[in-house]
Amino acid sequence: MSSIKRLIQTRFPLFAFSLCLFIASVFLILAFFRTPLISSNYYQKSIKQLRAKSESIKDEFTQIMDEIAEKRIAISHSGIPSERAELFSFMQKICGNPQTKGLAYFTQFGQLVLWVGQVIDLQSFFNEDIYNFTERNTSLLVRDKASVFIIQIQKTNRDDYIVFYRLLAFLPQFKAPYLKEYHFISEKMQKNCSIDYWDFREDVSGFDKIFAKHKDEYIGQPRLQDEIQTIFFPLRNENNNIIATVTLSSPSRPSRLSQHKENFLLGFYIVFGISLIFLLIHLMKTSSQAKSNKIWLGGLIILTLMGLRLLFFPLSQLEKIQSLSIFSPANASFISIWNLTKSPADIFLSSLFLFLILGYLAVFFPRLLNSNATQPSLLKSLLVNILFITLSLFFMWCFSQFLIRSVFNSSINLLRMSTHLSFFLLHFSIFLLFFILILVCYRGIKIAAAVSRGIQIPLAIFMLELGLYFLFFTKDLPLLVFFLQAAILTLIIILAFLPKLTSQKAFLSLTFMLSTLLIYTQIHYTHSEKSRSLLQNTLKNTIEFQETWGIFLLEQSMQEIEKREDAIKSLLRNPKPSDLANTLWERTLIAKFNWYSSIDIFSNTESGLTEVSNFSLNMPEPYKPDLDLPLTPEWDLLHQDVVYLGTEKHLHIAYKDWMEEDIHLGRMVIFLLLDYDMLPFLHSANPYFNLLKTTSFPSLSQLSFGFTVFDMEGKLVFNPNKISSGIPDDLLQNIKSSEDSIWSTFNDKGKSYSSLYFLDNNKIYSLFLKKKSFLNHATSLLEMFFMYFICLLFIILISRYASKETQWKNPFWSFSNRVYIAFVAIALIPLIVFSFSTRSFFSQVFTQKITEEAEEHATFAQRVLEDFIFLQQEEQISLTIPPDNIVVWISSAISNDVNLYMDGKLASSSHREFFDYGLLPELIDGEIFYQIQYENNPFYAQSQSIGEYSFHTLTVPYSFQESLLLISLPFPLGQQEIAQTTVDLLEFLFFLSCLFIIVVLLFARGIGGMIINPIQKLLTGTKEVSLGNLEISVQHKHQDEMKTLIDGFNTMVKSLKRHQQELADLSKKVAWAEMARKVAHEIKNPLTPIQLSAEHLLKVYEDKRDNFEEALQESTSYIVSEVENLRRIAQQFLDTSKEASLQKENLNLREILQETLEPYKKLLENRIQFHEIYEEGGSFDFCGDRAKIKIVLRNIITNAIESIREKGYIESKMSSTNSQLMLEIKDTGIGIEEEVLERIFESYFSTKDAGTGLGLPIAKKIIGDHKGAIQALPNQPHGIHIIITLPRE
Amino acid sequence: MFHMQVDTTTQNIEKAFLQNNPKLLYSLFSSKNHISFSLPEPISFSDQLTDQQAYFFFKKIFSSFSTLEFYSENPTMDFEGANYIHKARWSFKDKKTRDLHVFHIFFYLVGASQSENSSQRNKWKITEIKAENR
Repeated sequence: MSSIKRLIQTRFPLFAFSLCLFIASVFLILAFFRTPLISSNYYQKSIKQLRAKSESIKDEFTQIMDEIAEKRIAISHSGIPSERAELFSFMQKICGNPQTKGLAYFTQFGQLVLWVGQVIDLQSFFNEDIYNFTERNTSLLVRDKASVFIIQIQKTNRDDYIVFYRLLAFLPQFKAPYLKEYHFISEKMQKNCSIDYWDFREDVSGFDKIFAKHKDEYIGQPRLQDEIQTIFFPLRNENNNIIATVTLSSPSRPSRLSQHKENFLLGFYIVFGISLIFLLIHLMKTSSQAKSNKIWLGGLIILTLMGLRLLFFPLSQLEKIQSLSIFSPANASFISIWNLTKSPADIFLSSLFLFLILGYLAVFFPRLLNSNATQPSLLKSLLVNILFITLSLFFMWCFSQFLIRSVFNSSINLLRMSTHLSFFLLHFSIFLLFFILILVCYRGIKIAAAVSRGIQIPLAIFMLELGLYFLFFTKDLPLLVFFLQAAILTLIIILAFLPKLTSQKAFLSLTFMLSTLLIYTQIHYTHSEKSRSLLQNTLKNTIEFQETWGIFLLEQSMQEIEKREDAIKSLLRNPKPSDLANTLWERTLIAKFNWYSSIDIFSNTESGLTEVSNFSLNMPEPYKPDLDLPLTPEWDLLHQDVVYLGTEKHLHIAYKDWMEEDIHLGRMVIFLLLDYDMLPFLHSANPYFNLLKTTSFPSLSQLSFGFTVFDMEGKLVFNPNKISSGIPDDLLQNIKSSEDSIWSTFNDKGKSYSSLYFLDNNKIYSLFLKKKSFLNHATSLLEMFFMYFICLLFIILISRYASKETQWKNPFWSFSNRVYIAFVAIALIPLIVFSFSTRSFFSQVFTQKITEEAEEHATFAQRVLEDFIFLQQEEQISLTIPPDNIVVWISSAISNDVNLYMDGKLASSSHREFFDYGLLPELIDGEIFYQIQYENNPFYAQSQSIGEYSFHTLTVPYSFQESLLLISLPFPLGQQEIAQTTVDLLEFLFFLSCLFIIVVLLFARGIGGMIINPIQKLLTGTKEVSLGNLEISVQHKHQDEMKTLIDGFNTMVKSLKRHQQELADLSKKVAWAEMARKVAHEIKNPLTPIQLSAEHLLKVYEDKRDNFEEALQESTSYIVSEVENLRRIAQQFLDTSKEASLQKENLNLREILQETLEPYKKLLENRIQFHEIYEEGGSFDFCGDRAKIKIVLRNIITNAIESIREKGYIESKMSSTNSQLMLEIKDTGIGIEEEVLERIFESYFSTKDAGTGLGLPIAKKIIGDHKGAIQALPNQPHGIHIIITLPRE
Repeated sequence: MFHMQVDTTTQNIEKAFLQNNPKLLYSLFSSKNHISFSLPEPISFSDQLTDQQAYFFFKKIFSSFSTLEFYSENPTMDFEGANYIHKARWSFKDKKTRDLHVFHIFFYLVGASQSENSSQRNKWKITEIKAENR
């Protein structure tokens, strides 16, 4: 069990890959074989789902009625305040959301007194049988033009009435993006759902019969297998009366099948993608663990990466993915190989995978990219240089083309910071591609550098090719782009050819800055070209083609009207007021595009042509000229300019006289208005104009351009951007004499503009672009710089994390980083807070400004009304409320729509049709009415909305006879102006912020000199001490607390060094004493028997005993034996002094060297540069003792490090032959004199104060044990050059 | 002369829609100016696109909807001029839901001499596409 667990842990990616593959297969099978499972009882399931949905709708409807009933009951229990002010605030409190709910107070005579929220006047209803409904406490459905309400009426204790309203639906007749339908059910529920609302006054007995028969649920029976399933049911009020009927449809079987298939395929692609990621992880792991580079493994990884990219092709075909805006080609797309760039997401994915593939090649196949140590021929060197320099220039050109295409074929302005995800995806793609470009160019030129003998020839080749590149490939590019490209490539060449360059970081930083500048310059240039092209070729066309469209729509409408000849003639035969004009208009193409127009039907009476039917959309009567047209039985078209209040209106008129035999029945006239406000690229200052706009170009909001129209004398005719400059005479003559459009510049209010002038229909049109100031450029560049800097940091962090350099995992690991981040945060936080508050501040300022303008207009309107009434009094005619015509006149004079309300109800309007069609309520907002009527406010400004369009209204009172006339002016929120000013200010703030951050960073660097630098010096010193370098001494000039700390550190190191010396001496003495004691002890033991034997022999000889011979033999035997024992002891000491025997195994010298160098590289990166050179294609395998070889390398490298006093360089170079390996280690330390150099391998010889003199002798012994050789040479200009040779076996 | 060319162009438009082939339409777009679109539901799109964006836009449309019928609704016989609005009836089916939709679609065509150089293969270029639900 545990072994399985272990296996899963060690092979987790492979296991996860298999599991995901299995799940993906299941999804795939389900995607293609689920059909029978769904089809089996599809209709039963559909009915069940439809019933569930119908219950939800009924519940939602019941909740609405219950909510009103609760409020009503609450009021009936608590009563209502008697004071008007209290009553109004009471009504506001209980009303709820005024967008969908309303509350009105009616007197017992049906007079509307107070109201809040969505309300309609029910005066006519009060005259009918209100008492019945009040007594029955019933919910009633009331339809008023485009709005449908449910109402409940509560009688008050004063016999007055409170009416509760809840908007159930808003169904505008006009179709426009802002005018979306509203239903009381959620948008999700509205899918496949159709609701018909029935006014309580309508007869629904037919439905009653049907539903009585079918128990309130009529299920449509599909005749064909694939037909949709429907369910039809009523919504009833408390009295069981039908209020609405609902038809719910289930999706057709093929549609449901298709949806299921899509869902399963989505599951399949996602899980399959995850499985490929696990496979990739497994392959990467295997590749990193492999002892040698395996081409097939690398190929497999690249194929998997390509597979992952290709997987997005079918994935992006799925509806759920396709509906994401980042997959929309309208945001950005351009034609490329295999359509890899068909949306912002595709552009990003292609760049990302290209980056990953090349990044992988760069990391895991370094040998393919590393230099070749062998010296090639001059020809080969030339060819390689030409190849890689040409390739670098080619890649630069490719990137340039990529940028041009991305910018030109994008609806997103890449120079304007946006929160749109596509914006970031495109920028990240650009960054990734440029990163790859730099990497590939650098690697390529580095290969070229390896085969070159110097930088002169490659530089000459580069200059030559650069010249050719300039001549043939930079025609469409600005000179600055070319120079930046050249500068970046020059930097790359310097970096590749001069690897020992000490200021590499500075060069890399410069490359990054130049790269950002290059990208910015190119984007700016292409964007400017695109903007000019848009103005010159597209918007100009839109203006010129507007008339053609108008005439076309008029002609098409004439054909449509012809089809209703019978109805027209019928009306003309029996003339009476009719809405036929309205009906006809709705059928025309003019209506489909909400084109401003009018249809008038006149009958031929004795007194001449008399209007019997009329419909107008934004075509007030005063615009229509008095026409004396000849009789024509066929449609006739004419064009006429009408000047109204100094404004010229362009009309196209179509008319026809309807004849029956020879009798002239009447005439129909169609007026079509060509208004600049209708141009789709304009945002009108008039809310009502914008509301009905069917065509708009959202992408143009990314482009800051303006539009002005002049007459032939150069006087302003139409000026939505409020430009105060005219056309100078000389320019005017140029425009008039030129057949084509002309580009020119002008200055207005301190800003410079580039303008396109062209003539059309005796008018001079100007489309102009604001020129960027230095501040604008600097801000945009800085924005881009910061964005790319964050991308760079992100890539560095990811790559460090992937390469398991754990110290980079947390960017806060470093004290200095924390200090810098703290400084930047302190600088940024107030700026961010300030930036956020800016918009609301500007919104307030602009609203105030616009309101003041509206007040002026309203005051003007008041005066005109005064004059109108005064004139009526003068002429002694009965006073009447100013009719629509007068209001239109006022509206034209102040260039603002005007509505007049009498006692809160609409009296006249400059846009009557908006009220006739129910787009606007005929009751003024209850809050406005209350504030002016009862609180006597001189004016009242309020935010309102129609559909999804919001605007402001300003209302002023005007006393008219006994009543109060309210003059209401709708005006825009000024969102564009607010947004533009906010952007300008934010740009300025951003620029200031960047400057501030730079100052803060410089300041932080200064602070660093005081705080961080001494700490870093201490840190470096501590690292060196930990590596055994006790020669270190940290310097600090200032007399402060840090000085005390550093002095303490230096004293500690000196003390440590002294103790180490003493310890070394003591160790030597102790070691010698111990050795002497052991030797004495071991030797003493055999000496005693030798001494005793010799004394015994001497005594026997002196005593002249007989057994002398025997004693001699015995004693010499003892002595020989003990001498032998002494030799054995000596041999044992000798053996003990030798190191343990070698533990040999198959090793790779390169790996051991890298392992040994790694900790030093990290710790000493600020002081010592390590440079490793490995012979191209060389094998560094050999048989040896890993631990001992590491001792050798460590001893040599430690010596090298300790010999480097300040900054220096250690180079290791490895080469091999069939039989042996050679390792050279050079340092730029203080070195040793040549005569002393010969002694460095002697034991106890050291030039260092605290050296034991054993490091290099041990190294020599270990190398000797491996049958190798080691030698030391002086390095030029200073330092030591150690050469080690090791046999492979 | 113009008449012949307009006929060829409108036939190409028809062919492109009937074959659901965005490449054919692409050849009718001008690379010089953006193409204006105003299409109602179910496509619901209104903006200006470059020829390459428009190509992918139609590619996306044709991947979701397939044309059932496409025929011209205004004869070009009496046409003389440099601009021409081609009106057609386009009925198409949602490939997934099989819902049927019918558009009146209008193509604003501009003579190449006005918008492109004479070496252009198609003499007429589409500059605007508008549609309305029938």
